[in-house]
Amino acid sequence: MDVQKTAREIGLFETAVNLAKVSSSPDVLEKIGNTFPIPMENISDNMSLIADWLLSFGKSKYMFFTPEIALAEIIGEKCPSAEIIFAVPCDMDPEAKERLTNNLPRHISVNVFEEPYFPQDFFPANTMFVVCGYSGADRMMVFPDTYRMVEHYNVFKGKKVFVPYIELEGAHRYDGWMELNTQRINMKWRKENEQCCGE
Amino acid sequence: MNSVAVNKELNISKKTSFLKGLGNSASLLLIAAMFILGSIVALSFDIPIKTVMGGYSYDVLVILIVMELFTNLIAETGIMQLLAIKIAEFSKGQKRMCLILFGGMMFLISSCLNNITAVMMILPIVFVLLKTLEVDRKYVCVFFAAILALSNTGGAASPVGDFPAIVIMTSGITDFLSYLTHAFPLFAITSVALLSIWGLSVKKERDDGAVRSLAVSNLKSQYKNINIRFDVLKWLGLIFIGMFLAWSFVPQNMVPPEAIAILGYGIAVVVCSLKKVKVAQCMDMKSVLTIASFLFFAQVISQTGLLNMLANFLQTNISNPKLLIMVIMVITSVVAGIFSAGPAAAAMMPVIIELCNGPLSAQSDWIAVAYAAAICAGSSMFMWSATAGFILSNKVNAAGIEEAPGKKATWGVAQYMKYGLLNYVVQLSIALIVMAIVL
Repeated sequence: MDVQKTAREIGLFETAVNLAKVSSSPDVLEKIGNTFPIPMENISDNMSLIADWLLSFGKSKYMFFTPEIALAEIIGEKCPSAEIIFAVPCDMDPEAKERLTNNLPRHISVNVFEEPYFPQDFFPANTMFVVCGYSGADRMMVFPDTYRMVEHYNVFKGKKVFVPYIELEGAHRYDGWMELNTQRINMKWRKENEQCCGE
Repeated sequence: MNSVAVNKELNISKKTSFLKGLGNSASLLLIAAMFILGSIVALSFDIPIKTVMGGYSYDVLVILIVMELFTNLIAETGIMQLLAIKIAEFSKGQKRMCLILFGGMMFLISSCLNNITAVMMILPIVFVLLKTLEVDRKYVCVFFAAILALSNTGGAASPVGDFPAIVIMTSGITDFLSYLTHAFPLFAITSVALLSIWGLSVKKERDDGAVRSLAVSNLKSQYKNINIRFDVLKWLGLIFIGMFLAWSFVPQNMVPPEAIAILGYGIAVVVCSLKKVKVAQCMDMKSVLTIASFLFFAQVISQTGLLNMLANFLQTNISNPKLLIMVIMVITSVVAGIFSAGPAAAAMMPVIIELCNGPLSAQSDWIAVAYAAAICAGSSMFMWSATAGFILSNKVNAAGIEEAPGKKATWGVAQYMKYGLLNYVVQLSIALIVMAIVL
């Protein structure tokens, strides 16, 4: 089972919510444990906190580098006027891309945008970047295509935040993940203080 | 590299691309060959082409095209995706249940709608599910062999399901309702038998079910926000029921079936336009042209009187009507297996009509069903015999389902062979047994 492939299509948080339901299974741990950090069971509570934190920046547009459907739905419930942009890799499977465009949350404006283009009306004043992954001993881990897109869109001078779906204490590196350059990110979400490391 | 070697390589490359091009256009060449051969035969027997075209079954082509377009409209509502997701959820990711439920769905959809479009609609969801369930090569072969056979039995179960059934309905040897009431139970029984056989060949899982549960949850997430147009679907359903009733109760000589199909589709297009649903006008013209060419050729052969002679020969040499029908069933099924359903249906139809006008006129409803069952069985024999065979094979191979880590499963003519032969034997045996009982 390629969970990373699924996560690229439905987002890390949606995948993590599904995974949390079966996280105690030895079969799941054996098949997925090496490639995808198993999330905590209370991940749904964290998502609400993360949505609040993101909305507290007061931006009108949130550009995600993974299609975080679950987070977008919560943001839509809390602030229907917000606009979500999912930046998808240029090499994404066309069928997966079509499925994603037909599966966008309904109660909020969500657009799918393909790398390497830039959306219109896209300024530091109204937009922020949201990079999702997991953190291990303060290292920000993301998928390779997310890493590439972060580098590509690095010219953007607005706010760039990192949101981990799980915060691990150890620095264990899982297969298929890359460490993000800390200079690419302004702020990082932390569960314990719902705040961030400094800019 | 010297110039001789370069030239040799260039020649090989040219030859390969020529053969590849020939292979790609083989079906188009076949269409042209059938029209040319038919014309040559007609002219050599001194039969004017105009006379041939006078008896040409345009109605079959019209119904075929209209039903495919109607299926496109239903597909646009998203209902098939919803059904497929519900099935995946209900099966809890159990491979045996997936096979049985998707097979059952395939039978029901194919009995009402064009089976190629029906296959196309459920395949994306099936692929996503199979990829996450971690299936092996045997399961891939069993699953798609069952889907192919059930798309055939579904197509034959109703008079508008597939091309052979449409040919039978428009031939006048039976009417819509008689065909439906005789054929549907037979093909439903055949489908249950096929599902039981293939279902039992799938081993039950010995795990805690968590991985399967995760696979289904992920699948649901991938489709959770799809928009199902129930507002359009209810109208299309109503129109389809109206078409079904009209086909059943309006006499064919007053309003022919193709007129009902066009009328129904016309109303459906208006509804979809008003509801702002995309009216997809795309269809597989190659299959329509193939059927058109074989209908033409069959019409030519029919005009020569050769098929009447064959029918008379069979009737003279086989005095027992029951045995006669069974022999024709076996011949028809083999022809359908080797040359595919379309040509078999078109070629053998005049023989069947001749028989129905003769001593077996009282049993014409059952003869029509026997004929359909024979074509259906033959269609499941080889990959090329089935209407949806190669399309399904291409899609399965392109989907990249892994039978082992890093190893993509392939499903083609060779892989289907033994499963197809079993499909054929099961279907033909059931049909022969039923005919032995009812005739």
